[in-house]
Amino acid sequence: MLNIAVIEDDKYYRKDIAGHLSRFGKVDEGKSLSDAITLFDARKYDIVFIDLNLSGKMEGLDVIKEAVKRKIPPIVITGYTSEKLVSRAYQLGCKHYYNKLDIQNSFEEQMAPFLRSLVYKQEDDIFSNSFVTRNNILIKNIKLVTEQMFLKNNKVFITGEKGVGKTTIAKFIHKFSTGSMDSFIHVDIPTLENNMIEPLLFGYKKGAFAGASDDFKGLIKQADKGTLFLDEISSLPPSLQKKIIKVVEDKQFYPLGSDQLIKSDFRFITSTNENVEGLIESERLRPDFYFMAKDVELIIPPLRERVEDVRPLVDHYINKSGTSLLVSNDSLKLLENYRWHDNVRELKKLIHSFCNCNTEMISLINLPEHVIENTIPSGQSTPLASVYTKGISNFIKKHGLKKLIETIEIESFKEFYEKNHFHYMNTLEELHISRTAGYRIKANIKKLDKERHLVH
Amino acid sequence: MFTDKEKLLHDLNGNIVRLGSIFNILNKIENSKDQEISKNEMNQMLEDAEQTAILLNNDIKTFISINMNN
Repeated sequence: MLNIAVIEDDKYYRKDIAGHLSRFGKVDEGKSLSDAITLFDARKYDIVFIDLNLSGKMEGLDVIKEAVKRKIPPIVITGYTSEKLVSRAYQLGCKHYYNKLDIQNSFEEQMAPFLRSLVYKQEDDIFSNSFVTRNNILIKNIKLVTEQMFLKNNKVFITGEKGVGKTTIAKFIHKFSTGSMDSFIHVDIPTLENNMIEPLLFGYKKGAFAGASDDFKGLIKQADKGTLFLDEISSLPPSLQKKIIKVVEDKQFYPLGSDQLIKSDFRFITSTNENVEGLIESERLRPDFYFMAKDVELIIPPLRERVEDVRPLVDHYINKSGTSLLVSNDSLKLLENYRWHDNVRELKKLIHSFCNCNTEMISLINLPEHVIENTIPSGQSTPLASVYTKGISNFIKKHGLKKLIETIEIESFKEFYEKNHFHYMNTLEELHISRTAGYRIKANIKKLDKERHLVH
Repeated sequence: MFTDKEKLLHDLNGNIVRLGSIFNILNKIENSKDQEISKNEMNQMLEDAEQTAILLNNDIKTFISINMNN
């Protein structure tokens, strides 16, 4: 959303117009040239609205000069309509000149379309400058969630498989709804030791527990005016989830060992890569926490369902590596159809592995075997189908009959296991196989996964 | 830089806008549970509205008299 400044000496008009403008971004107010300079020095504004007559002086013209100096587009809102003044304002660099009364009477017709176009332009710039996704539905949902977070301070719950880019998207939502200058506190809960989560989040006084040798301002306080992102919420003990509910609702808390109430007003994002219903059933996620944290839910589809993101992501990671690695068209097609078990993270690792070994080109010859074998041919739904489309005899020639049988077993098992909602006994029944055969196939899947990880 | 008439028109415009803004702010408070206002602020608004109305009244009188003389 936009960073907007309003420089206007009439407090009522200033408050009135700031109320309209707050739908489009964060609005800061000033009433004089010196207020304007202080604001401009503190934040990068996308636009500034300026009254020309500030407390009886024509200081507004100087505010235009200061704004232009800092490349902030100035918009004049004034009661003066003299031609001389209008042309002077335009000469100084004013972009638009509005009559106050017109704005007040018809903000929606006069100003709203212009502001909306600025917001759309800003969104497009952010989406094209820093790669997030090319998936239109996801883009639409991210914009919607961001708007909800900005306008209603809604809390966002992000779900998606491991490595789909939940953190990148959380950062984007933060940047767009609060402004890049506010703090974004990312707490990757699984990486923290269980007994350190509470002190780190809430902060502590010196001596609050053994090892607390200094006062520590907790992460919740550090997120004040910005965003607190609790990543992989299921790793947060339920007792702490209860405490967090209170902090988010009251916007205040006591650090460990302190009787001083600390205030912190932050936007709240949480995420999980697990099935929410399962987490609630297994009591790893409190239902009251989930309903508190989920004003809006953003589901990020896995990379295999966002085929349009594969090519831009490949380009993005090659550009980031600073190499001039080429990718053959066949390989790109194959990568688009690959299953990407670890999603964007896996793609990033794959591209890095090529960049690090000075390969000039990614082609079908040097792509890892597991990528080729786990590729879903277009129009087909399972890797098993790829065995048939490539031809059984070709497969046997290359890998042998044993490998073919193993592949068929593994892929059939996976397909039926997923179809049976991961119910083991039902899967065996549908496949008409014994428990022993089931365990053998599962062991093969584990072995294969292990080999894949070694390849990574 | 400005003629008396231009100044007068500006004042007229300013006072109308000011009264309109006070009305809009009151309207928002009336329609939204989130917006609160203290008794002191309310009294201040009332005083400012009265003052602005007097100024506006004078501006209109002056405007009419100038136009009648012309």
